[in-house]
Amino acid sequence: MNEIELLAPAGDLERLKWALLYGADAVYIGGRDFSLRANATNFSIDEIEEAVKFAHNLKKKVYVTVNIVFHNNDYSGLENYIKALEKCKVDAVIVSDIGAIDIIKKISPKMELHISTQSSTMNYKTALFYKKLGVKRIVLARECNKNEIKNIIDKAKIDTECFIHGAMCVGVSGKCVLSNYMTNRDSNRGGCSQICRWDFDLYANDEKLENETKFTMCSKDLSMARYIKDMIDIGVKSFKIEGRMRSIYYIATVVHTYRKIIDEVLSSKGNYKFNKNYETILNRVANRESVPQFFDKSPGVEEQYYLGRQELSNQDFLGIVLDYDEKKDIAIIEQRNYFKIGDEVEIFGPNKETISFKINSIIDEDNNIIDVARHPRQIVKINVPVKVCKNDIMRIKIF
Amino acid sequence: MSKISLMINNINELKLDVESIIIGIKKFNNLNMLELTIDQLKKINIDKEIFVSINKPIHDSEIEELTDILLSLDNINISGVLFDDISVYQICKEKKLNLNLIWSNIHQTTNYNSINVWNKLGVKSVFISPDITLKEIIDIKNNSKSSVFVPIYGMFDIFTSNRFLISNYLKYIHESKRNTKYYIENNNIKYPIYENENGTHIINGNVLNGLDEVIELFDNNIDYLVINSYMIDNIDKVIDNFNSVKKMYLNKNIDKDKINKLSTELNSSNKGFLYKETIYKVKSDENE
Repeated sequence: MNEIELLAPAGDLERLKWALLYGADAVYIGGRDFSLRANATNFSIDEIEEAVKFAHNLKKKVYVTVNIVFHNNDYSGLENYIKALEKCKVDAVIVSDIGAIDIIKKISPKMELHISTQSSTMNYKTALFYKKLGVKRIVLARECNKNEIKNIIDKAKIDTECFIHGAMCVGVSGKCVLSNYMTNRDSNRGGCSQICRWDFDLYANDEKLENETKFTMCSKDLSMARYIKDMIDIGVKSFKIEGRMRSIYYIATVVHTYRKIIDEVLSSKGNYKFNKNYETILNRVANRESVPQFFDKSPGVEEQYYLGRQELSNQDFLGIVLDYDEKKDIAIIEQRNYFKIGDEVEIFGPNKETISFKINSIIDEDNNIIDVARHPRQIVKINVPVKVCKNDIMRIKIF
Repeated sequence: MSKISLMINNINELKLDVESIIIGIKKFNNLNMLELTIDQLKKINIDKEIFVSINKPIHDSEIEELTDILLSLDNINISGVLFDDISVYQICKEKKLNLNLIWSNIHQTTNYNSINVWNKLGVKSVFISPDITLKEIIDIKNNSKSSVFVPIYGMFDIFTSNRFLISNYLKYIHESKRNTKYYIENNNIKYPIYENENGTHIINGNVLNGLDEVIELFDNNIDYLVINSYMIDNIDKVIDNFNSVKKMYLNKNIDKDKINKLSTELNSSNKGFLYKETIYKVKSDENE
């Protein structure tokens, strides 16, 4: 495995497999309890065991989030859960609560500990504290800029993990309980109802500011694509993608894109040049604009979303390759969005260059020639001039 | 016996009838209260406990300045330092400072296991989160050796961002920022929102009033009952009423009807989360 780690989210086993197949070195997942995405599908212990086996067979890793802010009664079951995770041979747990850290160290002294971004570590003194506590890695706060990240790495000499892509909390992690107070859903225990994406009336004293654009705190997403080289240069160890509840298409596309960027940086031998097309791919898959946020500056109005933000349904994802007949150049595709004869499409997959072509024939399961694949999950055959593989993805041609 | 601790918002509030005062340190405080520089703090001469708040997430670039502040505080006669960021603890250890530290990560001080870990590390006091139930607060007190500060009256911080969200919005709609208080409204409650040099803060617009609960807190040896004067017009009255209940308790002359009347006078029946547990798992059809 590379010293640089690409770390992907996985909300369930299917997503986990796609993330690892598409180039992640490790995945982070949540169990049914103790995880900050309480309403994601999440993993049972049996599924965690299967996930770890799958990952370890590929010489990859699985980290499990145990990162809620515990209330007194939340500790019930934690000891057994940690023992079970140890038995599953998970590679690390991601924690924020110091009481939980204490228990984990007693129950499973060899368990690798990563400090969650929920702890909002922004300085090297805090990093030194955690290091002395036996922590192996810190997921730094998203609010750290380049100099701060470098200084923390240089002075604390501890493994650091930084978010590189996905949705942002507009508040400092752990310091926002809007959800608790406005919806009674506990943001620090995985129930966040994303109040920061709501529109509000803003008042100056008693005067309501009348404007067609309502006040919102909603920020654009994070994308560090163009700064991956800088991050590698300053010593960031793990590059984390957000989004345990995202689709397989999103995960495959984002992981695949960052895999290519990281590999290009590592193999560049000093001649690296960022390919801007990657940003276009990343922006399209999320349907939301993504920007570097705090790394290069203090975010301002350009990093916020107001009226007119576009969150259109993405229909780029056309299908998944189920099989390929090399003799006939025919791919069997499971349809995911409408496509038709004449469409310009491309297929990408792990460890291959993206190929582009025009669809010139579609045959359904009954061997009928059809013009359009219009039914969700419809199985069709199309002519593909270059060899493709099972689990490759077909999408609309982007460039 | 519980002491009343006041998060002051005006220097004149120093003279109010409470045993303990909490003051923010300029630039390094995140909670809604008066902020003073070290020099201003040195000039205060009152016969009360003075706690200072260094309650913000500390950026790496601020470590040097923070160290200077802690070194200065170590030479001032204060009763303790409320801290959020662990760097405060780490610097105090490295510099062998004798400051009495109070763990005050306001939304994460929610359980006694963590409080006990901090206690073993030498942090003997905790500012309890306003986001938990009365039962949880009492369980914390009964299962830890730490002294506890319990927020019991006022409006407390519910959101911190390093972004300047009001300024950004006003810029977007081409309006100038006014020298006034701003609010956002939800469900007929107006939540104060303000910016300082650290970013944006939102305050719970619903005044917590736990006066009816103080007898139970006295019974359970809660060390400090914290009142925040932020935007409270009748803070004198609030303190008088809390002191009246305290006097009743000390005189073993508890009159629940009278306490209820004193509480009603404070114009808020909001109990926050004292009797309401938050939820964090919703049914699948509620989670679209």
